[in-house]
Amino acid sequence: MTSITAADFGNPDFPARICLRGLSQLQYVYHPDRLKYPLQSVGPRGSGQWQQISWEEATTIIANKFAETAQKYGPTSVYIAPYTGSLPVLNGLIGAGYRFASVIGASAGDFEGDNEGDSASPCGSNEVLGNFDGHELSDLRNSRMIILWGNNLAETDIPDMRFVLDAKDGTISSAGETAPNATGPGAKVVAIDPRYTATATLADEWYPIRPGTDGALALSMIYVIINENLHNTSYILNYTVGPFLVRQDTNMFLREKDLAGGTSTKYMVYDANTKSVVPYDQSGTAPALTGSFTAKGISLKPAFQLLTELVNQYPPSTAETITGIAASDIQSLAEEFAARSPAAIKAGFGGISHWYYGDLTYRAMITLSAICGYIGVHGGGVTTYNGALLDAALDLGDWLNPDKLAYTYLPPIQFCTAVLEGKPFQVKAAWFPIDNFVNQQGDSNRTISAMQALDFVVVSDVFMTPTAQYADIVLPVATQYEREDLLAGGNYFLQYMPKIIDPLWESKTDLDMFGEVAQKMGQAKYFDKSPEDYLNLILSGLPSGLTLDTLKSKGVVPLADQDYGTSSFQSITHPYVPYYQQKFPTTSGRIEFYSESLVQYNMPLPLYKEPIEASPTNPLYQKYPLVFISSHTKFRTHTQWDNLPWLQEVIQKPFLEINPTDAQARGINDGDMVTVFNDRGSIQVVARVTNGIRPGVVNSYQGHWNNGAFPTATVNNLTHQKINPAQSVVFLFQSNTAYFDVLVDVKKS
Amino acid sequence: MKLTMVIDLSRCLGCWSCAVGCKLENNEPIGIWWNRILTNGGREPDTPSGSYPDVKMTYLPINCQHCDNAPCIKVCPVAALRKRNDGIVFLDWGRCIGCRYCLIACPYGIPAFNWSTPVQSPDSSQFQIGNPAVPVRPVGVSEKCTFCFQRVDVGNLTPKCIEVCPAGARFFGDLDDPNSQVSQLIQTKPTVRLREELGTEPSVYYVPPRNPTIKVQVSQT
Amino acid sequence: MKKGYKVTTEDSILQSLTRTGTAFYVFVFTLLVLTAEFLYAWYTQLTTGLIVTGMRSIYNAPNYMGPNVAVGSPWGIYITNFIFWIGISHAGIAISASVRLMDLKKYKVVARMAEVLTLVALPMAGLSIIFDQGRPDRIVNLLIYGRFQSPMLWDLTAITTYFIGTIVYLYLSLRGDIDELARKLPRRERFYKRLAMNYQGTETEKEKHNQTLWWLALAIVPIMVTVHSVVSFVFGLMIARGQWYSTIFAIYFVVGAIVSGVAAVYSLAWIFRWLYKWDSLITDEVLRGISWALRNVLIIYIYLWIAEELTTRYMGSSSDLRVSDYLWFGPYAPIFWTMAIVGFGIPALILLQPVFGKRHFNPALTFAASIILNVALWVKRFTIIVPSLLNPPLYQTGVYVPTLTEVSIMLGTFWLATLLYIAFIKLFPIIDLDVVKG
Repeated sequence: MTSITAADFGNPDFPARICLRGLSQLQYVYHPDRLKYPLQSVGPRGSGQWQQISWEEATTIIANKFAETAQKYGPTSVYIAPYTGSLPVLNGLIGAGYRFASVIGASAGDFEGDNEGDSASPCGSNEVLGNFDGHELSDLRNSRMIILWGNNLAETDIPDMRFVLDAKDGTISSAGETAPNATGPGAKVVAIDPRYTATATLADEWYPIRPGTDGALALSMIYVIINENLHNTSYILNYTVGPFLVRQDTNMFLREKDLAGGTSTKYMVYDANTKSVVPYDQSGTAPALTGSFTAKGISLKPAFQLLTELVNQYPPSTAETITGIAASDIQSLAEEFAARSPAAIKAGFGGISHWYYGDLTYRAMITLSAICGYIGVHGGGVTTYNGALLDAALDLGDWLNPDKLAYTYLPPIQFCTAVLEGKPFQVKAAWFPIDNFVNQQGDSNRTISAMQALDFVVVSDVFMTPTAQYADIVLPVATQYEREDLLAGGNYFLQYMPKIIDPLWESKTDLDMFGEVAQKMGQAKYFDKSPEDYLNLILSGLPSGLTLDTLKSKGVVPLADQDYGTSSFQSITHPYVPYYQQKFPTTSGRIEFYSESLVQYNMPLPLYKEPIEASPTNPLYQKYPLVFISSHTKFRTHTQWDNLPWLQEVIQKPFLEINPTDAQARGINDGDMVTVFNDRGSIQVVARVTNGIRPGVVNSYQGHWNNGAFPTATVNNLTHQKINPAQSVVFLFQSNTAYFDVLVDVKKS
Repeated sequence: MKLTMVIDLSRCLGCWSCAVGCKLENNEPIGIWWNRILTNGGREPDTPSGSYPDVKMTYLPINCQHCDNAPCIKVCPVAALRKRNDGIVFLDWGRCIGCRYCLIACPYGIPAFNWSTPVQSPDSSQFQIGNPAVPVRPVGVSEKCTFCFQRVDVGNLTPKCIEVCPAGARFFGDLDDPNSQVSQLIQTKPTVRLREELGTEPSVYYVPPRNPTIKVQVSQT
Repeated sequence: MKKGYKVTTEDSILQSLTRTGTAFYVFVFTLLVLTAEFLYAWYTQLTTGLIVTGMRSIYNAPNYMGPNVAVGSPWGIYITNFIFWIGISHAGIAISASVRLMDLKKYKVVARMAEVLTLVALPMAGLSIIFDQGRPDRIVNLLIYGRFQSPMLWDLTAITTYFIGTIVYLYLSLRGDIDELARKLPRRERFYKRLAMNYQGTETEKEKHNQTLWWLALAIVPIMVTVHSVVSFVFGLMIARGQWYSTIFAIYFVVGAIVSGVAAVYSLAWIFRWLYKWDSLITDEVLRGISWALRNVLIIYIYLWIAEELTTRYMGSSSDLRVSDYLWFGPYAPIFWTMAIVGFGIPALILLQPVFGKRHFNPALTFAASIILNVALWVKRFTIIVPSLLNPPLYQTGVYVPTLTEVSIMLGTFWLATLLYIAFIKLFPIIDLDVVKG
């Protein structure tokens, strides 16, 4: 491999989708520190003493150990954790690791599920819309206003930031339909972020919000919109649960059988014409959105009325006190959001989902968009991740669950509890492919205790990561350039990944590795085909009949295109817009800003709750008065590329962004070594005093590996593993790591 | 032909993709950057000037300006620096004696110098990375952006930095052609050039950045 | 007459050739050891590259090629040293030309030591430049591809011409003495006879020599002025750098060079007088005269310096003021003000003393002043070159710290210069023998 260039997507809407990380890949593939041979630990775990062994030996040991552990503690005591280190289909996040887990009956994380911090938003989305999906980001060109909410797109999703810039410049989409109201140049771009990021510099307005209070802002905006009668009444009536009457005794929706007996579970509305409670699908009705009514002695209110009562608690003056954004600004932001139709919300996983109550926040944001009628229209919507449904669209059932065998789902954040406390079941052995778990899981000290408590650990990776340090067996992995695969994720394209060079040294692909171990565990038949065969198997799920050969010749196909799309979300419009037909996979088939499943947790509506830890209302705040967030840097993808020389040349060292006021109060100058600490641990990094961060908030980029120069700089020494029980209503997204919901203090080292 | 570059600062993300792409294409050693992204703001990179919350920050990608009236060409004692007919200011690495006068004379601080035997990553003793038409430079010579002469010479008027900019903020072409993208941009947008008052006549134009309106907010705990 | 003995013979002048004491051997041995160290340092630089110095590009990637700052100075003590030696070289012709053109016989006694100084100083300047090149193996490119648009080529031409002129001048004025030495030192007769190249010693020949020397002196004066002017143009024509682009740089540098040169001659004169007890040859009057000249050029130099500073501080451009602030109030302030007050102020006061009466002239104190002045001038040139490079417009302020290797290499020019000078005084009389004749 001698050079890298951007792939041609064959679509003028998608030029130059490459960034500095992609361009540095030669340094990744040919890095001198790459793992070359299988290694076995010969000292205590974490001591760094290794001996080289053969693949034969390694796979035999693993097979035996796994079998032994499964025998003693049950098959689910073996945990396989493939993760976002690699996204392709065979060898990545949704790949061979899960297939292996299924066939040996082990437990595993889930590709769609808990993504360690990326689950709160999907959970919230599921609760309101029935699933988690997003607009193809080229659709932003159709927006007249874009709110980048807790999202540093310019660093974390560089190729897609261009669409925001196009919208600002007034470049209309060159493919597919355009939103009916899209006219002229100059979408207004607003950045809501406690940091003045690269994204904020390109926005028209920047709101430095108090971290974790975004829900209050959303509710206040809803208040303004409803109060000034700017909401889209007909949309609310037809596509949301707004008019559905809620029983004030049970807080559940009124069903027809509640009044009339029988079995009909139809939702009921109050017809203003006949002044009576009728089923929602009765024709000729004028359903009420507000008011309170009684029927058969049951006190009833339309869901929208309840929403109004909720947001009435958050007029701009109140929200100002909570969020730190001026009431007049909240007012004008809301008015503009409603007026500049269509307006899009692009939310970040970091700013929104890395919080304990992230699901509530996301629900509030979707509700905000819904009452303006922006869901399922070009230029609108609330998008966090585009490409979310792609993996489901590929119909990976046969690939991940051959012969209907299935792994047992255990979200990664529950891993430590499973190991240390045996809940929900005991885990005794683990394999971490493509996952720098020790670095990236919340509360590293607890994670390390769990690693030490395991009987047997396997790590397969490209480098000796901090996680690999705690393994008994380390296996060298072939990079994505050394194997054939398919990539689906991050956009609505399906990409063929050819093998460019042979695996270097003795590295093997995930597929081969898992295959060899599976074979030794008597499951060879599930891994006896070639990568091409498996790829064809996966593609066979597409009704379009797309074959591997076609895909190879084209390189990239737009999966949301009718010609190639799957039945599950065959796109009806370009660019891809979810819910374009206003059909929602919820219980009611509508936007459920009022969700029955959360009545048991007293939050059927998207309440605002102060962050679980990072709040001034928390007594802990007296001891640790700074909110610690750990955002993403453009120089890494999580922990990957941390050791690439070109990127290292520019990012230099791990640092803590701190406002001058906070720095001065602690006698800290720019460039000083500082210790950031709380009750869970501490880190030592260099202070970067900057005016680009809110006072009371400090930030250190996540993903740094502890190394010689900075041995304690992993931000997760400070984070926690607190789980929000309310998320259990959505099985796949039942737990989340609230990375940003953290309090610390800082002192000069 | 008058090769010209236009960089749109109202779109630049400061992401370093152009700088890394350049490094790849031209096999630049560790420690040398032909293309750099300066932060126009606070003291450290990626920090703003001003006082919270009234802050301001933009990025300034800077590479050789290929001046028409280049001070570096004037001062080079061995004429290793020469102006080509197409406008490229070319540094002949085979002739450079390493006096570093060009580093002194350049008002933009552009030329870089190989203070030690260059180390490429991956190690270029294994193979040449980037474009094989660009020779690896030895110790003791200066080097700088060439407007990707190796591409221009085979008719490809797209230097690597233009090719890879993910934000669509970089443009390149022939200013002598009134229909070229750069000509159009310079005519329609209020472009500026760096340190124009010095009379160097640079060939790189910048579309000025837009700055966000900052909302002053109530300070609170 | 205070000390020494009445000098009537040439023998006293020839002491430097005939007398070789223990002190001499110790001194030379030390120099040779230092020179070996210098050669080793240079060898390291030649094999490793200029990274052994503290110089760096204007923009560096911070993690590698330390120091850990983004901005460095591409030129440093080598170039400073180059300018310093060029400055010293202005001694020779300044004195010799005055003596010959204005018939100041009184100062003929110091003429030759000044010319030898130039002869030794110019190669040291050239050597400093060679130290600074990234590819000294390609130095011949200067001759093949040399382009006259570059001030460096003007330097090369002017300095070479100056050097050739000085060698010819020195040889012609030395020839008579060489011939004489052939007779006086029979053991070296063949060496001197060869060198004299059939010198007859006739009156016509002497007259011809004097004529040639007179015209040569006349021609070399403008060459001398040109030399340091073109050296100044290397900096003074640079629009890019703060506080460099200035019209008075040529005369500023030339006057500074004359100060350097005259001070160096004073130092040498005083040293020889002390070493060989030449009080009756190098009289107080002679020394006072040199110090008079030194004082006057120093005054002119300080005047030009003030003009430069005032121009910047009054309403200088942002890039000029940035550099000036860096010197006056920033990290270089201690160096700058010490140099100004101690380095220039004290010598100025010492040199001003004789204004109040001849008896206030103190040769030894003036000697100290001359040394301090040259050190100060070395530092002065450093403060002209480096701070401007560390404050490039568009970038942040950088750092430059010369390394030990770099300093060793630079100091090599001083050891070599001394060794070469010693070699000369061991072979030839440092005072023209004509002085004691007739």
